[in-house]
Amino acid sequence: MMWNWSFAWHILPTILHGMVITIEATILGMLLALVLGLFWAGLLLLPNRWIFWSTHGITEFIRDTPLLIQLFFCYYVLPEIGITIPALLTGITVLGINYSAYTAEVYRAGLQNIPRGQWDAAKALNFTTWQTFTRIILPQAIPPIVPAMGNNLIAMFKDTPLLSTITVMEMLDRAMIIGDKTFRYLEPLTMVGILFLIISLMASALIGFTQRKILVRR
Amino acid sequence: MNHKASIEFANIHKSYQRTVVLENLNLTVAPGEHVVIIGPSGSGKSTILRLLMTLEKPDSGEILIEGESVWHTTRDGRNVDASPAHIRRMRGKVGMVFQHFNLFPHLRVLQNITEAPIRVMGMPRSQAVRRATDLLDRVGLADKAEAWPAELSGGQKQRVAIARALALQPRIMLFDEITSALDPEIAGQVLQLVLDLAKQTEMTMLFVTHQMRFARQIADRVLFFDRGRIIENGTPEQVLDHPQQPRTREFLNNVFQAS
Repeated sequence: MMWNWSFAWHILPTILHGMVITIEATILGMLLALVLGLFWAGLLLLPNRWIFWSTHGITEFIRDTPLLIQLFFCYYVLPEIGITIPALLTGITVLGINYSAYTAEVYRAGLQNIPRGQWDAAKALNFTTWQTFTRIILPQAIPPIVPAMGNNLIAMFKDTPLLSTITVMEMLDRAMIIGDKTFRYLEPLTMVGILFLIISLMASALIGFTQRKILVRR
Repeated sequence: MNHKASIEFANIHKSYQRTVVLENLNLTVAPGEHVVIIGPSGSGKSTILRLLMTLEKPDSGEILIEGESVWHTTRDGRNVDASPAHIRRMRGKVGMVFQHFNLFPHLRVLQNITEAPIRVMGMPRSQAVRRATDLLDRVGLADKAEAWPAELSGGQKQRVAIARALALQPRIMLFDEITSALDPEIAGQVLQLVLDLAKQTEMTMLFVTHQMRFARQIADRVLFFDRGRIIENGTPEQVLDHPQQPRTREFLNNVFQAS
């Protein structure tokens, strides 16, 4: 089988269209993971052991079940109990919730690295717990965890092809449809692989740049 | 009442897990009084300050600041747990300087000082900046307003920390081994600053320190503390020069031999 350039050009727009969906799912999924993960991490900091153990249980459950099964469950089982969510939205939500369990751990590591004295000083200055968290603790906790969050972002990006299994028309899904129609899989699958590679490399570079920027400012 | 004590500890108990840190502590500090607490490490000295700053909660007993309970209020004639708002109001009367400075590394020196007045007291930014600039001038760091904490020496950091605590105009200031992490020479400069400050204000001040010369200079009263109890309580001359208890004598001998 030989690489056919004109065929590749011909299918590029379709695949790029899928790429938009892929990126959209990644960005929205990651935003959800960042917010929800911070929420879990915040709950894990509270001195209440019931809250701690139930939060811990939830995140552990999420991490210890396969993403693919979570996707199938939400897309194929939930409708049976009357909850029907569009495929892309299901995909984004499941990705976000799944990765929130990992971002929570990253946040937690970052938060635990803040010395006890910072909390003490903030309290002595009479900041509220919320002010302490948002203005004193988080701004110190976040810069060191940017690389780890970046890794999660890239990992999530590379997990988006799983959404093709619940009919989301992302890059891989479109490539497979082209392949099934034309019996040529070489070009579409290669192109999808290369696009993933290019975007992952660009994201890595961006994360490295962000981190250097933060370090310089310090 | 006009002659309320500034600080009152009544039957305070505090333990961590199974270690008793403070045992039935009773202590009264008059308004404007400078009290120095000395004693061996782990004797519970710092816990007194941390309790006053509400960083820790006593297991039992009452802490009163200007006659008002910190942790309890009366409702329908019954003693009940105070609301978070009440505790914050009481906390606002107290300021604290820490052994390890605890400056906020992500904020410039000036912001370290202005952040609390702006966020906590709702002071207009311009006024907060003016006050912070005055305070920096007072601690001899007027030229460091735009520096990052990481760019300062230990002594400079501690000066900023003092200015930061003063910015909220507390009625009571707590100094927890503020020179233990500094070189002796730098420590002397910081202590001189605190001595000057003590002369200029009417704040009630509590010190935990191992600097006996400083204790003598600043204290109206010295407490010797051991194993969660006050062993000796009197003027600097009484406690430092003529200790009555053998335990105090032993401790002071060790300290003076070391220095």
